[in-house]
Amino acid sequence: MSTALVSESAPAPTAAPRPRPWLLAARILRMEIRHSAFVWCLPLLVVLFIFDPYRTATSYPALWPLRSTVVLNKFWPDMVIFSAGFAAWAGTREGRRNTSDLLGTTARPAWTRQLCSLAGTTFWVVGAFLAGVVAIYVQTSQQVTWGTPPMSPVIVGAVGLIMVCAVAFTLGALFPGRFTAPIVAVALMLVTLAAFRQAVGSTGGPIPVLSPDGSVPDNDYGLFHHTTIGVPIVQVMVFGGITLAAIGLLGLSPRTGGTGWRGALSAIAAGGARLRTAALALCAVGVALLAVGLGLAGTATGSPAGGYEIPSIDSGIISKSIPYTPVCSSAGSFQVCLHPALRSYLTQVTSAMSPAFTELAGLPGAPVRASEVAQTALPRAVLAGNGDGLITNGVYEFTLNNSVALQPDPSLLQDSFQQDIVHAVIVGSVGEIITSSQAGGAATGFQPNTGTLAQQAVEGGLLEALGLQPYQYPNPTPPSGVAAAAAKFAALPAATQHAWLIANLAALKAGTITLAQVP
Amino acid sequence: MTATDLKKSPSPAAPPAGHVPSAARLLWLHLRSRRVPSALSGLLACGVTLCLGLNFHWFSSGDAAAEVPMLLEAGAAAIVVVTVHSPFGEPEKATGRWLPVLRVGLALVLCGAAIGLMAAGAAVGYDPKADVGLADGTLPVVRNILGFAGVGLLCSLVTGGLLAWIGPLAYQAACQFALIAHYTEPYTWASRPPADRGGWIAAMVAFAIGLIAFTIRGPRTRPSGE
Repeated sequence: MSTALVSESAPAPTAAPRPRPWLLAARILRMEIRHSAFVWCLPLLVVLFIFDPYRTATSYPALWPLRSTVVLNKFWPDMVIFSAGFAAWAGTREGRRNTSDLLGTTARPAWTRQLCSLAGTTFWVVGAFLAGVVAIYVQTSQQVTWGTPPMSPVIVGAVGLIMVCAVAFTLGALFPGRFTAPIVAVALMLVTLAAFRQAVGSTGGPIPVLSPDGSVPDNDYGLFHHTTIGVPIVQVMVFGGITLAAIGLLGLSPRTGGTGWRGALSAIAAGGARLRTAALALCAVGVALLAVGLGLAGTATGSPAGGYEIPSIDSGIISKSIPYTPVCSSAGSFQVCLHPALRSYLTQVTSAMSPAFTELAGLPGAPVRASEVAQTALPRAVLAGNGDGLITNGVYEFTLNNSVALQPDPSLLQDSFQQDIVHAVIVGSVGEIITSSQAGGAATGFQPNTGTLAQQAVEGGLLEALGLQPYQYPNPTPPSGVAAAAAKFAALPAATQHAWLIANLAALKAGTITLAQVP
Repeated sequence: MTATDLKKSPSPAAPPAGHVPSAARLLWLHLRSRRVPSALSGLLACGVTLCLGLNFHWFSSGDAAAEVPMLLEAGAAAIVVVTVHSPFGEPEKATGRWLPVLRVGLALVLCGAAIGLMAAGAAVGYDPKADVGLADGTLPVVRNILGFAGVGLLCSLVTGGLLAWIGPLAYQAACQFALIAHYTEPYTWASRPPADRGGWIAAMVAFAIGLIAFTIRGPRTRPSGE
């Protein structure tokens, strides 16, 4: 046999196929998604979603900023306990099944396996969260008349849940056991509840600012003035920082199969130096983001539009008004204008105000037009006295916050507006905020403007003629003579009442008309 | 040697000093297989958390006075139901007639331990002068732990022991919503007043059904062992 014969018959060796790490990781991720235990709780989550966040959202007025608060106030806390439990469950898997040594012989580092496992659980968590958000937003989009769906609650919620998954997974990997999942779920839920209590209690500090779960804002939140963007940015920074730090810890800690801390800064250290450097860098970036976010959150101040604002980010943004074209309707000689977001209430508000406007038309100081304004544009005394608005230059400027409850009641609208308008024309303002010096320091209180007995009688008579309850004054209650005078005034024909008011309203408001002089 | 000698059975040898009866040893092995010592540590942690929360006024007023203890009671019930998982899987069902007795006994003992440790935590944290104490007393602790444990035992028939914690935690979430929204349905027993008869009946029925079903069927076992 010759060398040439051997060389002719032997085939040329082919190059071995180059491994594609990303394809392997994608295959592991696909398996993790397919076999995730989170699917066990999806039916329960659907029931809880309908039971609480969805029902709450549908009971709110159809306003984008208001209904979007349900995403973080109601839906996000529901997701936390399940996200934490199942992420911790996934993290404990290798420890529970005692397969760490077996898997340690695989070609991929432990960090890759664990990140794929974490990603698989996070996929289902974020997917369920986004599905719920879509359901709420689609339902809202069919009812709202102005605005666009806010994205900041969705982004903050998704990043927050990723943080919960990362922390819970890392805790599960550090402390594997059958009890780890429920204990971690309960512990993280306790942290969420504690942060929520601080947020609604306005205790100060960064925690109330960072809590995604907080109090429900007023109805006109986000309608007249821009909402804060500083708070969502800071929340995403802090949540992202915690996530990166937890993932870095996963890659470093020997308890989780990581590469260990020794030699993390050495480029020439043997055995996984690149991984150690990457994990340490992630930890460092995460801690830095966390520190900066906490620092910014500590600078938060109360926002006049409600909630908090970060001055260094929000300066000049919240104070700017959102331009809009009001929607108006006319009834007789007066016009009522509302923000377009509350277009669906226009007919109700117009019919609620119409009788009072008609009754008081032509009187000195009576309004000729009504226009909705932001609650923050009204004096504090109006809100402290449970009023809806005040008359300025012939225009009744009002807010719908006090009168539009979460479940709008037409009779509530009618009573509150008519009482408010009649009181403003006959008596004047609802009252004033007073500051008094006390032993413990200055204290503010509200002093209602009850008017004279004659003013109370005329006001009561007009309200009785409109078929309404008398104006509710605080103690002491008016003497019985006022009620009798009011009934007598109400019994007069409308033309007689009007004529008397035309002639005597100025003197009545000046306080020179006595109770006996009221017809 | 005569036939009389053969008829007499040899006297049994005296057991060595310190010998543990085999029944007790088997019982201890059963408890260890269910990780009962770790479960007791977890229940103790729940009681300590309750005590610390009362002492430091973490949940002394408002809805938090009921929400946080409810969450801790659900956590205790979750720890109890996770112990039902058997590391031996299906072959354990062929070990004899004592397994159902062990199941029901373990469930009852751990529920009692959970109630006792939570009540002890509340008692240690109780300070009438500072108005510190559980808002509704100890009765809701008993009702809620038994009710949540019943839900968890029922859940174990479907999900297996290791995932049975889903039941108590999900149910307490529903009860939290009921508490905030002031629902009055008796099946949200954790949100009901301490002496509410409907809430007690619902919780005890859930516990009884869960315990009976778990005693008869045992938790679900899968080929993977979980």
